Amino acid sequence: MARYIINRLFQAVIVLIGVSIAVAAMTEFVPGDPALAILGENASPDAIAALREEMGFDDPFWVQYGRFIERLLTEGSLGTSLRTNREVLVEIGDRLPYTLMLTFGAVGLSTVLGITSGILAAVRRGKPTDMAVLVGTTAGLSVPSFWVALLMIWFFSIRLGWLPVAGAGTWQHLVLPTLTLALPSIATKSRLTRSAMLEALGQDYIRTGRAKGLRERRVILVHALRNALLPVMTIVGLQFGALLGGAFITEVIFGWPGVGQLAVNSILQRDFPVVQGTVLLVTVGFVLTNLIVDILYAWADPRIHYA
Amino acid sequence: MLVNGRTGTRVFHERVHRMTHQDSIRQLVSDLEHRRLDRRAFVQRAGALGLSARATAMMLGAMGVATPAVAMTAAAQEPGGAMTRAVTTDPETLDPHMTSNGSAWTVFTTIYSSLVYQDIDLTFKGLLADSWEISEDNLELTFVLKDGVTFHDGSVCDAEAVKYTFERLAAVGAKNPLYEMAQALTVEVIDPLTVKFIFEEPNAAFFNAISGGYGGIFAPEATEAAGDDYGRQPVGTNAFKLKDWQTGSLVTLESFPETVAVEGYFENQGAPYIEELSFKVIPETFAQVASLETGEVDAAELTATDLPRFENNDQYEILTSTDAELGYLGLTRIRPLMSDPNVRKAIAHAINRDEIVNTIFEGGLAEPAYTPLPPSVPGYDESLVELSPQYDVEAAKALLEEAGWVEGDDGIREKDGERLAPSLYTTTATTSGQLATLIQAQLRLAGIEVEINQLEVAALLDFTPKGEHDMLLLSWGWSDPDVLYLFLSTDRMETSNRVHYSNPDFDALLVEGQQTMDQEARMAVYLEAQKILLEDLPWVPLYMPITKLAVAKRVQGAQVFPTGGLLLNDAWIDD
Repeated sequence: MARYIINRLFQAVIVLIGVSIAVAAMTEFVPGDPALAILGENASPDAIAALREEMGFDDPFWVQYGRFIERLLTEGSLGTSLRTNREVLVEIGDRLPYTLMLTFGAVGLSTVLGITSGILAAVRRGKPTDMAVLVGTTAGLSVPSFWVALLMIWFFSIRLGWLPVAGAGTWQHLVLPTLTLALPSIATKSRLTRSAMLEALGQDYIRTGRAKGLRERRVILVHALRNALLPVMTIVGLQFGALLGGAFITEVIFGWPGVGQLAVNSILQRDFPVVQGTVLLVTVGFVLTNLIVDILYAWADPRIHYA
Repeated sequence: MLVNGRTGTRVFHERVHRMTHQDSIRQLVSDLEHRRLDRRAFVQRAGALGLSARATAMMLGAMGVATPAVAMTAAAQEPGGAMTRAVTTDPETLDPHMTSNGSAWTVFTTIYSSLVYQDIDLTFKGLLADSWEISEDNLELTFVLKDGVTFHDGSVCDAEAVKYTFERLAAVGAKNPLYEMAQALTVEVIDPLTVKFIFEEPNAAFFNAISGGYGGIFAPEATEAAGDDYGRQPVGTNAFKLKDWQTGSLVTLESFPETVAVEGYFENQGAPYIEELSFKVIPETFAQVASLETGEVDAAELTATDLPRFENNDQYEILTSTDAELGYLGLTRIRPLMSDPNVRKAIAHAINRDEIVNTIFEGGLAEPAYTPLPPSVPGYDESLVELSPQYDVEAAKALLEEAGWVEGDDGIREKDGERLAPSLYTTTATTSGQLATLIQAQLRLAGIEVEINQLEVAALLDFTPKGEHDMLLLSWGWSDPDVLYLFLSTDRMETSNRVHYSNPDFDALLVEGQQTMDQEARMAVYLEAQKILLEDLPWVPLYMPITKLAVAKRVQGAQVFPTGGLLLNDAWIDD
């Protein structure tokens, strides 16, 4: 197992190098001069040229990439934001707690609600409960999140006056963005749980269990669920990784000061060091959660062995 | 004063009866005659309509109004309370030398004050400066500072601080609009309260440039001590100081009781009544307005959809300002399709500005603009309006015929087998798309087929120096006529001169305008310069945006500057 983990971590480093090269190359091909974006309309041609030179924007991307790696290895720095002049790590550090709050909230909520509704639908297959879950999950998957967000603001904030529209700081601020973010994930997990449960419930060992007189509750929640949860775990992991990079639209609509909002601003203003930092963060999130999921797999399913 | 750091067009909509500029002035005079306005409201509105200080004073004199504004009920003005304003992005940094971001400007103008300020009649008065003298040759400007002004950290605002500020600006302020100006400047300390600016060439735009937040004076010791982190620990002399900053979410300022240098148009010359002023970052306009309705914020800019709801709601006051901003259609003369003056003139004739204002801006969030400098920018001259090609599709067609462009089978004109199908570039903003589509339809009536291309702002600004666009739909915001140098001079060909316009006669006038200190003579120069532009038509002026800021009634006495900017010293909270 230890060897497997070391192996996977080694692979992760390779992935990170690949991604960082891709992002560095992007700065070369994406239209929009960062020097111009930073200095604005009123800057003189000389000032723009000077900044481009100072920042090394004119250098080919591999030279810029070399500088990036050198700075990373010698100073442990991802560079400075072109907009705020602060360390990229500080910028991300300011935002990460908010994104983590949102991520854990949404993953937790969607896992609980998704699995519960999925079990219910599987157990009452073909009955009204199943139909209701089907309709709900279809809606959850197909309705765009910005629309859900606007609808929730209208209903919960304006009509009922229960929750604040935008900002951060109290638990109330967390509710609407978490719900918005969780909704499609609830649907995915519910669907997945339902089909995995149905498959498990059709297995011989379930019939055996029932035949030997186990309570139905135990059959479903212990024997069927443990086997059905394996694919769901993968999805939980993947979604966690994806959400770490920030839920761009949700964070922007609710004025949530997370990594997603930072990434959007940085992309629009060609703040490449910050873009690079956020992309690397997403990558690390993905790689790590995948690794954790794989390890959990081995624990949950004794048939799986890693070498 | 740079009005705002924004680029590109913005969304403005409103549904109210729209008046022409002349109607507005007539209405204003009538309101004054019937005493429906007090002096201050009149001066403010006159300023918004672009009337000169002299014209305003003359009108006031003629009406026999010279009394100061009616004093507000003093009992209600209890110090205390907090208000929150919505902004679109995080301010990035509160170091004015390090940013040109619009939200940053909105916040730091309440933290810093400058040597001079622009009064409501658009003239310049002393703020940190008590008085000044200009040398015969216009190359030396000596300021005497007010005594006893202190920074937020308690240090004294003196001549050394002024010198330090401008030297720092020249060294690190590449993002600040005054950067180049500061580099062509020497500052000398004469005595603790006297400071002399020495210019390489006379600079008529200087006062305009240094007024407002971008020319704010820094506290030398606090700035040096904070080092790289200064943008998060700003120290100024203005009415508010930074209290807390939750990155990406909320900037909170608190009132600075020792503030002394307050603009003359405020009745309250002491510390502001409002104790806490916050700026809340809400990128989405929908969420901004929703927050206004729930009371999470007290002030937000309105868009078309929301305006009627707020205007007819007595819970809010709508503050209107006419932005020193112009939306224009640029015509790139170096492109073969746009090189013929008759074609450019035909395009100008084919544009229906009233339709643009009434549909895209729903009648109220913009006014039609006919001149390169709109009424909200000094240098505007009404006599130029009739020189500007008016809406006349038949005239447009005749001009195109004359230029040899004949109507083809599908109604699109052709010449030597080539179709009159110019490309139009603009940003991806919603308003830009709507405007482009409307202009496409309007030009189609004259037999011109416009091909629309939308690029993200950063990509568009990077694209235009290549000169591969026939037309450009964009806007600018700047409160000095020197803006013409920025966007149309030969010097700026590689960068901000996005329409690749070059005319030596015009360039010469721009230099003259920069160096003529006498305001009247200076405006005469810009009159000539604009005449050339209306002949050459590198721009077809389209509209001048109007900002409507909704303020919850719990905030009383808030005002806006005629050309934009919330004024809060007279405001108080009435809960």
